Amino acid sequence: MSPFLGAFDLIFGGDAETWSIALTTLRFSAWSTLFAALPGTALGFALALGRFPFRRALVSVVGALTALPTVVIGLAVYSLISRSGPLGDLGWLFEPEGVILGQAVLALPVVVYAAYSGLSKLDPRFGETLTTLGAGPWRRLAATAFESRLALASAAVGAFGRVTGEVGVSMMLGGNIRFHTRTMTTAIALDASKGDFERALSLGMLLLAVALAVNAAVHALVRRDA
Amino acid sequence: MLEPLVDARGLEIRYGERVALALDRFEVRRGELVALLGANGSGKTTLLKALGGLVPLARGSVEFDGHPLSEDAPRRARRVYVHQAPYLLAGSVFRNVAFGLRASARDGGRPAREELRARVADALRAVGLAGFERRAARELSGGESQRVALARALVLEPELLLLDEPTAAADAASRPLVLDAVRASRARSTLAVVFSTHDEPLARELADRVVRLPEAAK
Repeated sequence: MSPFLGAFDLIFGGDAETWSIALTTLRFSAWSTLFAALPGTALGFALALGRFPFRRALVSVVGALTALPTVVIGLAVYSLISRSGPLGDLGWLFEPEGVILGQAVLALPVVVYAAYSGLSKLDPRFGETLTTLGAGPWRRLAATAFESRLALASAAVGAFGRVTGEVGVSMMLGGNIRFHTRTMTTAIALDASKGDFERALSLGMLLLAVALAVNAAVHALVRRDA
Repeated sequence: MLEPLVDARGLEIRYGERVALALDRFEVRRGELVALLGANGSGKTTLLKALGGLVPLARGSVEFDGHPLSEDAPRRARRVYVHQAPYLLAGSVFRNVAFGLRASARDGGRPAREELRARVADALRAVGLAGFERRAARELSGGESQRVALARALVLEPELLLLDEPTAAADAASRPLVLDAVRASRARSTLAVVFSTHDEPLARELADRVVRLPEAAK
């Protein structure tokens, strides 16, 4: 059987390990995106709407952080949660919590920068309209979030795509443990190195499907926004 | 003699280094309708925004009902500015017109749903858009958008209405409706209106007083 047919068989035959890896990946990505989206959106608001010293410099720093190599983030979080690190007592290294923390750190600047970009594009008349209609700070915040809801959703979807496709953080912090912390990317790296192309291809196809779905979601949101 | 509703003195407003407006004195009395005429760049929009508290003053002061604008935040919705090309919020026409009522609910308590509906319906009827509540605001024509923005302002029953070229974006069908709505609101209350226009005959026909702004110093 060719590796491609074998890969299809693993996917559509309901292979337990393949689907476990896929679901583990989606679970880690969902949690890390959620944990990054909450503070990330708030920081995006602060950068876009706040007026404070070094704001522009901070925007540049966040922009640069979006391109940080995943292994660098993995290494930084590793030093925090390894047994001798300041958060070592939590016992998160090679556990799902460690991967989720690392991926959240990875996703955070992605969310912040995308939220900042979306909010910065709001028409100046929008703020004046809220002011003249007597909106207080909370109503202003809620109205701004509603007005830019599609940009904020795009930010979260983009972050989800970024963490789903990363390998450095998952490998360093999760240890690629079977049925525990193995994600699609770490499994692909391992299976390809072992010569198990069928599983690597099946996971690659699923990863591609996730990437396409994420991109389709972003495009649909952008189209609705236009 | 009654105190003016709006009393602006020694105004200077700058955008960066450029002086957008320099004006010694500008007053509006309750119930008065003032037209602002002036060439492009003379500061008509800037003056309207200053009266609405939407731009910072480089120099001078604006008092509204005897209080500096800076101390008047809780009563902000008593003076409403309407853009030349209005910005309608995402969502329905109802959301747009109800927004200010909900926003100002903190002072007087949130209006009941039925009251909210009735007031929005009245405001839309006044601008010739009865039954438009469920329409998507962003899908309206320029003239309809202008009228929604006017309804959104009038529903607040402001004391001062600041209209930036209210008929510029209005189509032929909308123009008389916009003007009628302004006239009708004035007839019902002591609403003061300041509007900018390039249309001198309209200014002379509609306004109690016409103020011509000099070209701003560059």
